[in-house]
Amino acid sequence: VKRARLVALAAAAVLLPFGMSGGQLTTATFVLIAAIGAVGLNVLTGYTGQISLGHAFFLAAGAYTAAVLGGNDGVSAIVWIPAAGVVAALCGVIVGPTAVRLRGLYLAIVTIGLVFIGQHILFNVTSLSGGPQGRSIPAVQAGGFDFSPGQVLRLGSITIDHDGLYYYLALALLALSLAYVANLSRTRFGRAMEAVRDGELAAAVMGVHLTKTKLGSFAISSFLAGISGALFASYLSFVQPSQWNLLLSIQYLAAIIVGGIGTVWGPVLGSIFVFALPDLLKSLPFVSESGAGGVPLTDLTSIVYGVLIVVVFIVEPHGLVGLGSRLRVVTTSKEASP
Amino acid sequence: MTLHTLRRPIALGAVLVASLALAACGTGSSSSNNSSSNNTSGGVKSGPGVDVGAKTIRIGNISALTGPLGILGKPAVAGDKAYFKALNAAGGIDGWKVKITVKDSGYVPQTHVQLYNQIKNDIALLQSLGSPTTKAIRSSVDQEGLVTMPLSWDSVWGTDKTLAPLGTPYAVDIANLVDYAVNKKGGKGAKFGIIYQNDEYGMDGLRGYEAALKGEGLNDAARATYKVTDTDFTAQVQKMKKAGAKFVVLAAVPSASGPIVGTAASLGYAPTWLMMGPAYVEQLITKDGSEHGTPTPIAGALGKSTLAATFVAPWGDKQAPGMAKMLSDAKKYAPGQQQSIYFTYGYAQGELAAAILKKAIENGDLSRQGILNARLNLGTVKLGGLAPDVTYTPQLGPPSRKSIIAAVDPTATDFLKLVASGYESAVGRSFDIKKAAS
Repeated sequence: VKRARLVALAAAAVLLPFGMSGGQLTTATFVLIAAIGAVGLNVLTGYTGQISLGHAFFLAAGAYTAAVLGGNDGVSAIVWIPAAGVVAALCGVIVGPTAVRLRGLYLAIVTIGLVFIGQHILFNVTSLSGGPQGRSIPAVQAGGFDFSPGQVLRLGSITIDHDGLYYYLALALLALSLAYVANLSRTRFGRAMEAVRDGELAAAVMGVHLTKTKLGSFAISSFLAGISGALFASYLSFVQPSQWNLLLSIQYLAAIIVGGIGTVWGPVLGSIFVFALPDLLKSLPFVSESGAGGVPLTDLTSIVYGVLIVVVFIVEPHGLVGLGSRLRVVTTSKEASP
Repeated sequence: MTLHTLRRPIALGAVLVASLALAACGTGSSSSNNSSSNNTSGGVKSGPGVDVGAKTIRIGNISALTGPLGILGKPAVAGDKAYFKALNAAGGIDGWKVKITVKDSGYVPQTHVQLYNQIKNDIALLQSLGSPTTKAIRSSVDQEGLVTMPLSWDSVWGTDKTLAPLGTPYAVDIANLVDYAVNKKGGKGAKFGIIYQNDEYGMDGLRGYEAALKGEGLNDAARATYKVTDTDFTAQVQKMKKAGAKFVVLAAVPSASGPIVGTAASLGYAPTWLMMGPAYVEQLITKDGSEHGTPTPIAGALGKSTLAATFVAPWGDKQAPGMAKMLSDAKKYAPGQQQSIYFTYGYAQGELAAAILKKAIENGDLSRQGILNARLNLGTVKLGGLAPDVTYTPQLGPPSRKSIIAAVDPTATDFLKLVASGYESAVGRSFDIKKAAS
């Protein structure tokens, strides 16, 4: 039954773009790309229990690796996509040692520092970031594939455009990361991560190598963040140093908490909630034309969005995933008593 | 989860087969946009955003109604809408009515891209607020051939055939303004200084200043920079004062130009301020920017001796032939609108958009390519003195090299008194925008 559900979900995800307008497809693509990063943060915060507000820094590390390799050096995307992950992972390993000495809120504060250091570097190293005014980021190009706007992939009678290409690439990479993390949580290393989260002292007593576990989870988390950042920047095509800020980190943290921290599907559900909801609210039929008097539309959607986050936390502390399992209990109990 | 139950060889094999199948093909360029929409009617070739039956053309305006630039996006959209409402009421362009779809990106590039994808297939022309936001959609609009009018004065816009900027680039404006100060304000042999924002916006102003220094043989006394987040400008002002600069160029935004003038006044330093367009805003003179609002503490200091290279004519300026019509349209179609240079700019941008569409209609081609051709071969369009006249040619280049120069005068409407409209200088005429764009 579970496998059938998974196949149905995959089929739906693959067919989804055909029923979407251009704007919706763009939003969906941004959500999938963000979800890769959220899956990464979930490894660190959800499974290993290390609160990080520095995710924006690792996203940026990936984005600017793409910019330098793909943009300055003209390297194929087959190289720069994984390279973005590796560079970000290396940054994670460099930062990791502080995590070994700190925990909880102290680690959160230190990782905030990362965001500021990162932004300072980006604002000043013009050759890397183009300075405060930003720089363009190349589209994904590999072999015969070109994801630039206006390029299409023809498969028989089906044509997939620029937005569709990014959608499927992000979908494939998200599926890979989900599969990896789902399996990881069942390995020796995965159990070690959860042991560290549930009690560092107890884990150490049981023989879990704290340093190795924390560093490893930092590396995995940053690797996925780097891939997500590179795809995001490439799809957006133009980025500025100011956008890799603390707010971005907080959005990712909100996404995994709203979705369901420490669960496989939580980051995906949370990303849909955090990154697509503002856009969906805007396209509701009864709030159409902007620029009129009263409360501006964008303000209204931010308010609704904020209220919804609060409601989710109060009503369903386990996140949206919890809502799902609660539904399952309701449906299965019905099936049990005909 | 059941992912682990997928047997690894099978999963790997599936991935391999799929990637091989994909690798066998590749992407190609889409050539569909000129085949699908060739429904010609009444001798006019149609395209996205054009309804030949109803004779309507839809244009898009992705602006910022909220966020840091909301304060200028709102009046700009109001001006744009007022122009087209008046145009439609007067019969439109040869009977064609123009409708506007307004979207609010909040000055966020990602949102800008999302909104662009949402509306691009339903519009014939696009207006787009901001530099980073427009840069985020630039490769897409270039590829699509969708003529886009940025609300921004970067020098780089003049080098792109799909973009249709309005106004004189910052660098040329500053070169003209310095020239004016030298020749009409007794600046010959006087000491000059500049305070500029340390980003592309400020750099564009600096390039104009440097060109003017070289061209006029000026006495460059002091230069100082600031970060857009700075709140204290004492060091910068002291530097100017110590160097004895009689004229100080401000390549700044209002949140910096206000405090700079205030700090100088409290130090007893009163040079002639030369402001780049966006450095000035009505709110520097009265708190709410309206004519009878409470004056700010720096209104007096600004009124003493400040020249601004405004990108539009001052509100209510009698010398601009198009002003009377704009004011009556504002009264009728944007009631309650207070004086705003951005309303005037939005109105002038609407006028320029209409001129491009009119040319395309005359050519009988409202397809993407037709509107692009109209933009490239537009020639010179007079905007009633509201904004500098625009010249578009297939050779590209800045839309204008003339500046509107006004003196700040708290007693005038809009607090600006026009001193020169269409001012040109030798340095401004020869300034190479390609160098700035690289």
